[in-house]
Amino acid sequence: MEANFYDGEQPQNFEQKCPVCIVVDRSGSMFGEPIDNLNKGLVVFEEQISKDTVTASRLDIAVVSFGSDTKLERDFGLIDEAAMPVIGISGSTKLVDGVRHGIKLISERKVWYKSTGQTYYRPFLILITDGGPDSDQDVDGLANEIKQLTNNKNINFWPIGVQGADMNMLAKIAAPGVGASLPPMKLDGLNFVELFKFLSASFSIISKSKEREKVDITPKKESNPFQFTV
Amino acid sequence: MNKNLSIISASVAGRGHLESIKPIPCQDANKWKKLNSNWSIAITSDGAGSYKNSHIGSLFVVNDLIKVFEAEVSNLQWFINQVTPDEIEWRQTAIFCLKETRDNLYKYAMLNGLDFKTLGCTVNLALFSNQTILSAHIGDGRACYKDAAGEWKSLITPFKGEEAGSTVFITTDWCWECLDESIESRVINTEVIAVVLLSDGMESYSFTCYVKDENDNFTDPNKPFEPFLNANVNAILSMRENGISEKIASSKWKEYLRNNKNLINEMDDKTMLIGVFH
Repeated sequence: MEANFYDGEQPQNFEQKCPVCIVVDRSGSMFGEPIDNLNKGLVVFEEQISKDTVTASRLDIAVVSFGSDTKLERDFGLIDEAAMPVIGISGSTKLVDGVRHGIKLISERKVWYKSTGQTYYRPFLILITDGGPDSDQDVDGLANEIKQLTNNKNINFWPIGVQGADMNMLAKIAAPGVGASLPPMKLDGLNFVELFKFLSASFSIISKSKEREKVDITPKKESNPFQFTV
Repeated sequence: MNKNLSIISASVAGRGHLESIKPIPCQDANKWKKLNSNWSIAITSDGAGSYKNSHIGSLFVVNDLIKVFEAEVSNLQWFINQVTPDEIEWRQTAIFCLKETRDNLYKYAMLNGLDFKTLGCTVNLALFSNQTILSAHIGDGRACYKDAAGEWKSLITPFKGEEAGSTVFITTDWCWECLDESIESRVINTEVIAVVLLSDGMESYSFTCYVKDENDNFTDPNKPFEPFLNANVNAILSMRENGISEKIASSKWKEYLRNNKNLINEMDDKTMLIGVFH
């Protein structure tokens, strides 16, 4: 009788991490429906990622918020290590400080990965904002920083504008086409739930792909959360 | 006395390529040839995921490298006399042949108006007999062999960058500037039962390659996973004993790589070549 090819248990290998830092705007203009929908979106993100066992074991997620100051809402960890935060409203729009907080967090996480011998996918920093930064915020400086970080293959940057967002400012700080960085995307209305479904689906694909492999994350027309085709 | 050798191999597209809105061809390739009653050569190549012509590169490399090696070694005394060369001589031969294929790939790119870099691919090769394995590789992927004591041992150390999935390719300029770091070669002088080459799409199923120790540090033990390898070698032997040809056994192997419940969800392309002496 012919023997069959192997069909038993797999070797016990850990999954490589895909770090994602989501930087969200909690300034006063997000009060009411925007922040409620954002928080619903974060819950959906958690649910979607949790359903995908491979992605859930790879996605290393942090959440930072910015208003009059910046706040670490959720430190890096796998989806099941902590619940997604509920973001509250606070003050003005220290957007540059918020993004820099995210950049610092990513940098520290990479040091930890290296110190523990872990390999990782190039980190993603996702910015979600509905306004323009305070006048004292160094937008030009941030634009240079992001260009340098993306050109040096340190991060991928996805800027997302909600209604009222200064899309020109987002275009200034974006680094489209560098690695997996995207141009600024404008959310359709307050469709945060669809946005976070798109993000969870995208990272489900990305976390299973080869580094630098071109992957298609185009949302289907009926579930495109953006005002235009990504 | 030379034993019989059966070789089966297959390369299949990963789920990520198949499900893409614009389907991406399989970027892995493999080829083998029994050069004479003693020596055989096996090569696998994995095209760079982000390069649009890497499937062309990997196919070119496996075909060209066999021709280059065949032409080069046929005049070498160790090959003719069926003895094991020393490490220096093997390394010189391997680097010479890899460089020639690299240069042939470049000429091919120029002739066909292709950006040379977009043909980037890894190379993993073994020139072997029942008593010797001569290996060389550029980039990642894995390889192992089974010795007469029945123990599986790794044959190469994959080249991996800091970021997951990053590696070097035969087209990478740095590779030819820093040969000592970029091209690994080895000479194994022992009785060989089986030789296996694979692309990194198969490594997590056939190797223990990413584990956490008691101090929460991660390491790559690069340890062949014996249950997987032994079962598949036995399956090949069983098929051959039952009169199934290498060609049909390879097509069954291809089906297995494509549809086995453990492998079907692998997003990356999968290649595995197994040579068994019996």
